[in-house]
Amino acid sequence: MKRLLYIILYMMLVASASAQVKVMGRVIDLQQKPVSDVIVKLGSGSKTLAFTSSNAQGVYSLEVKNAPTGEVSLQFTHISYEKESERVTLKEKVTKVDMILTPKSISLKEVTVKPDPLRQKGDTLSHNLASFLGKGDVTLEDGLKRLPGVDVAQSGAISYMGKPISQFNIEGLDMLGGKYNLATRNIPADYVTQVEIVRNHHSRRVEKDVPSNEVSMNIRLSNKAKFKPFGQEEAGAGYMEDGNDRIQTLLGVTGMMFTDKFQTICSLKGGNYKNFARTDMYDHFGGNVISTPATNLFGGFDSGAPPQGEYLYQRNGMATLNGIYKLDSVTTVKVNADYSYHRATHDISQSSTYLSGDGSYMTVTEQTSPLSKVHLPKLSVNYLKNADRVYLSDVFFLKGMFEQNEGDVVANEKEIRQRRRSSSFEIDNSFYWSDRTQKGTVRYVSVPISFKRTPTLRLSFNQDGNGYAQTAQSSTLKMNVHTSFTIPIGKAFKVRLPVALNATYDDLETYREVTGERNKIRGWAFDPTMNPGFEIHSRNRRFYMSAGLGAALKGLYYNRLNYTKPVLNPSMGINYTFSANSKLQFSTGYTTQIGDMMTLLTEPMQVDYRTVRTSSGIIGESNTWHTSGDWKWQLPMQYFTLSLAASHSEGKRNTLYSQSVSGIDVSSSALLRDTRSRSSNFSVATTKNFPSLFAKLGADVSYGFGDSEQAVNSDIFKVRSSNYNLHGNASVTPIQWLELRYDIRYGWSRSRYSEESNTVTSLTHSGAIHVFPIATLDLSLDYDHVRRQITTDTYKRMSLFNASAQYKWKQCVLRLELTNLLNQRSYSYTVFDGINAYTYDYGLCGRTTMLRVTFKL
Amino acid sequence: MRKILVTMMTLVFAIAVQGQTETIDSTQFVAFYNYTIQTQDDEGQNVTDSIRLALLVGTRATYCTTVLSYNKDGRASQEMLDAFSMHFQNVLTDVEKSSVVAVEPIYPYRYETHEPMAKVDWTLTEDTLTISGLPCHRTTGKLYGKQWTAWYTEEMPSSAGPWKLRGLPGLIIKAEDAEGIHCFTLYETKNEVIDINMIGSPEYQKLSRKKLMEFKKKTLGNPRYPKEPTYYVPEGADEVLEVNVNGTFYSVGYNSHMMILQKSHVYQPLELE
Repeated sequence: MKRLLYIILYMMLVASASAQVKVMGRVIDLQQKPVSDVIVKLGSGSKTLAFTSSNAQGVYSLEVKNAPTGEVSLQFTHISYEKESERVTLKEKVTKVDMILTPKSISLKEVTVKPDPLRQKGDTLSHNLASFLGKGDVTLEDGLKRLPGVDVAQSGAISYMGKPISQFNIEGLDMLGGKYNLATRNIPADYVTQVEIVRNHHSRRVEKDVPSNEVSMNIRLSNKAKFKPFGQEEAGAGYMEDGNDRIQTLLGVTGMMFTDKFQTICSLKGGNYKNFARTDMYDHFGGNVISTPATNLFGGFDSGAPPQGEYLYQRNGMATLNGIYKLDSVTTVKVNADYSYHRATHDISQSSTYLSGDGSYMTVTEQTSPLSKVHLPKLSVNYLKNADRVYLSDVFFLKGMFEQNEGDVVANEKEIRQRRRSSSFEIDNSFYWSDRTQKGTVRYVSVPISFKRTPTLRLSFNQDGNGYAQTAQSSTLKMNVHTSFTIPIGKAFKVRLPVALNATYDDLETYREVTGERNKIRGWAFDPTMNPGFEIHSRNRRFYMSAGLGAALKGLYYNRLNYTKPVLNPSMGINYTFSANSKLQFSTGYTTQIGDMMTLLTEPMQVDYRTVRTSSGIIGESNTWHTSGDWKWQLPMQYFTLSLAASHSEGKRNTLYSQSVSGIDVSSSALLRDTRSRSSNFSVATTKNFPSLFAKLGADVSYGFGDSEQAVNSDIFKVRSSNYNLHGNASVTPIQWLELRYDIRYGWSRSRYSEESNTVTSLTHSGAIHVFPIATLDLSLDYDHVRRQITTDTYKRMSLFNASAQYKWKQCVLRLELTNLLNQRSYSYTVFDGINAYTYDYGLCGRTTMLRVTFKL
Repeated sequence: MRKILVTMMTLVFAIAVQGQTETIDSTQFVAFYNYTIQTQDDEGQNVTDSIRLALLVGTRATYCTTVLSYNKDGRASQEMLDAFSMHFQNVLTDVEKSSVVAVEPIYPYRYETHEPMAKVDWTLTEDTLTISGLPCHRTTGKLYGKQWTAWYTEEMPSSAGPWKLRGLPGLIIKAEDAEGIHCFTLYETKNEVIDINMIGSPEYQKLSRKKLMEFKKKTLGNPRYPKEPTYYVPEGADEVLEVNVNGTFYSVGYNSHMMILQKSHVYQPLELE
C-alpha cells in the first residue's frame, strides 16, 4: 500500500514538473547596460500567462504553470524603450531569452481619463457634463436638461428636485444674479466640464451652521474657455406666412472671458423672431420691471397667454455688459449694465361670463389686439465680502421703465380706443453686514432703501367720438432697518433677537378727467417688528428646530387715517436629516396682513374702458395659518430623486370681494364681512436617470382642494374648488442615432357654487424625435397635441408641429427651423374664476421658416 | 497649547519639509489621480473625502505625493487641510533598490518609514474595460491585509501605480479596495521631465512600518479622534497659530508647520497588517 502511494506521489511530481516551465533572461540596452523595471509578459493570443519586471541588473524570471504546447509570445515593454517581442516554444523546463531594447524616440502620449459622471462630496453633487450630453446639444442649457433631478423651464429657470436655484455661479463667482440665461443660453455645452449642485447652500458663509434649504449651481469651465475671450455670433433670416412682420430676422453677438480674477459677459442682440433677444435678459430672481402703486392700479390691456404655441408678434433688442472682479479670495466687485426693448402684439377674442345679482349670466365678447412697448434700462453695482467671519454687501441700482400700450377693442360690436403711457424709475441701495465671533455669536444689520416714482401715467379712451382719460402719479420711499443677534448657549441651543423697522412713505394721486373724481393720498406706513426666538440643534445635528414670536406693530398714517394695531405672528420650523440624502422639513406659522393705502382710494378710477374700480375705505385684515412639510430623498449615485410635499392654509379676512355687473360694465368693491378660506395641496415628484441608455424619466402628481367665498351684488356664494395634475416625461436614446422625448400632462379642475358645478380638463402630449444620420447632423420633429375642454360638452383639439435641421461644422452651427408646420392659427381654452368663466381664443403666429447660423468665436 | 492669533493674507509654509534634496531619478511622465475615501464625519454622517495625487514616474524610481506638493503650493487651503485629514503618505519607491520610503504627517510630528518594496501577487482576470479609449484589464491582489481590484492599461507600459500599489504590466488606471472605502482613479497624465528627489529628514520620527501602523490604529482609530483630532497631543507640544488666508481662518502649528484639524473624519486605514 505504502509503495503504491509513493508511485502515485512520484507520478504527480513528474506530471507537475513537466507542466511547469521557467522563462528567464536579461534585458540590456544598446550600450549593454542593464535595463530595470522592464515589463516582461508571456502571452498566448490575448491571454496573459505570466508577467514580471526586470530587476536592477536587468534580470527577469517567469514561471508558468500548465505551459501551452505551441508558440507563445514574450513581450518586453518599458516607457523609455521600443516594445519588443519574441515567439518562443516552451519545450524545455528552463527557457532563456535575453533582449536588447532600443530607446524610444517618441514620447508616451498624454491621456485624460473621463471622470465618473457623478461625484458626491458632502452636499455637493458634481456632474461631469460630457457624460450626459446628447449629440444635438449645443448650449449649456441643453446639457442641464439632461442632469438627474434638474428641470429647466421654458423661461430658462433652473430647479433641482422642484426647488428653484437661489444662486448661479461660474467658477465660484456670481456675476449674473438672476439673469443666468445669459450664461446658460450662450456658453457652449462643450466648454463646461462640471456642473456642481450645492444642496443646503449658504449664500453667506457666516451662517454656514444654520440649516438651509437653498440650492445653488456652480459651473466649472474647461481650460479652452479660460483666460482668453470667446463668444458666439448669431444671425438668421426667415419668413412668416401671416402676421405683421412677415420678414423675420435676428442678429446677436455675445462675448465673454473668464479668468481667475475677472469674468465678463457682454451681449448685443436684436430681432423680431420669437423672444430671441428678450429671453437672455429674464431675471429669475425678480426685478425685471418696476412696480409702483400707479402702475399696479393701472396696468396694460394685455391678459393671459396660451400655454402652447407662439402667439406674440415681437420685436426686441437688448444690450448688456456684465463684469465681476475678484479683489481677493472673498471680496468681489460687480457691475451690470442692461438695456432692453420689447414690443409685442397679438390677437385675442375673449368671452367673459359673469354672474349677475339676479342669478342670470351676462356675457361680454371682445376682440382686441393689445400692443405694448417697453424700454428697460438698468445699472447696478455690487460690492461683496463673503468670509467665514464677516459678510459685507452693498448693492446699488438705478433702473427705469418706459411703457406705451394700445388696446383698441371691439366689445359686443362697439369700437373703443384705449391708450396708456407710463414712465417710472427706481433708485435702490441695499446694505447688509454680518459677523460671527469666535464663540459663534452671529450679528447682522440690513438697511435697504429704495425710492420709486411714476411721475406720469395716463390712460385715454375714446368711444363713439367721446374721449375720456384717467391719470395717476405716485412716489414711494421705502426704508428698512433689520438687525439681529444670535447667541449660542451651550452647543445645542441658540437665542436670537431680530428687530426690524420698516417705514414706507407714499404719495399717490389719481384723477378721472371725465367726472373730476380725484384720490390724493399721502402718508406713512410703519411696521416695527421684533421676533425673539430660539434654535435647537441635536448633538448629532440631525434635528433642528427654530421658533419665533413674531411681534409687530402695524401702523398706517395716511391723510386723516391713524391706524395702529399690534399683531403676533408666531412661527416654527423643524428639519430632520435622516442622512445626507434624506431630509424632512416642516414649518408652520400664523401671519397677519393689514391692508394698505390702496383701500383708501374711495373715489372711482377708470382701469379700462369697462372697469371702474372703487375701494371701500375699509382697512382689510387677513389672518392666515399656513402649515407645510416635505420630504426629499435621493440616491445620487443611482441617479434617483423623490420628493413628497403637503401644505395646508386656513385664512380669515374681514372684507369680502364683491363684484357688480351692469350692462357690460363690471365694478368691484369690498364688503365689510368676515370671510374664511381654506386650501390644501399635495404633490409627489420623482426622476430617474439611466446613464448607460442616456435616458431620463420623470413623473409628478399634484392634488389640491379648497373653498372660499365671493359676493355678487351683495349675494354671498361659497365656492369649492379642487384640481389634480399628472405629468410624466421621458427622454431616451435607444440607439446611437436616435433620441426620443415624450411629455404628457393631464389636468382636471372643478369649481362648485350653489347648485352649479363646472369641470374643465386638459390633456397635452408633447414629443420630439431627433435623428442623427451623421454625428454632426440633427434632424428633429417636435409636436404638441392639446385637447382642452371649452364648455361642458365642447372640446377643442389642436396640434402644433415644428421641425428643424441642425448641422454642426467646426465652430459653426447651422439651423433651419420650421415653426407651426400645420399653420394652426388659434388656441382656445376656458378658465373658471369661482363664479365667472372666461374663454380665450388666441391668435397664433403663422407658419414660419427661419435659417439661423451660430459661430463660436 | 498656547494660541497665537495672526492675521495675514497668505501663509507660505512647507507641508513636507525636505531635509534632503538628493536627486535619484527624473520623470518619464507624471500621472495624476483622484484619491477618495468613503468615511463618516464626527456626527456619523457618510462623507466622501478626496484629494488629488501626483505620481512622478521615472525609470528607476516613482514618487507619489499630493498635487499641492507637486505644484510646490505650501499655502494653507481647504485642499491641504483635506490632505492632512486623509493621512496620505508621500511614498518614494526605489525600484532599483526594491525599497520604499514613506513620510506621513501626524500632528505634531512627521514619521518616516523604510520598508522593502512589497510584492503584490496580482491575479489577472479576463475582464476588460475601456476607460476613455484606454483598454484596461482587471486584476486582483492583496497588499498589507487589504484586497484590491485594479484596472491597468498596457497602453502605458509602466508598472507604476498610486501609493504602494504597483507591479502590473501597465499603468494602474483605477484601484479600489474590496470594501469600497479607498479608491484611486487616474484623471490625467503629462509628459514632463522633473527631478525625483530622495525624501526623509533626520528631524522626522523613524518607525518601522508595523509600528507606525499600530500607532495610527491606536491614535487615529480612537472614537474620540473625529471630534477632537488633537486629543492625544500633549500640552505644550506645539504652538497654535490662527492664520487668516483671504478671510478664511486656519489653525496651523507654529513649530510643526502642519495644519491642525478642528474636526476630522473617521480614520480609514490603508494598511491592516
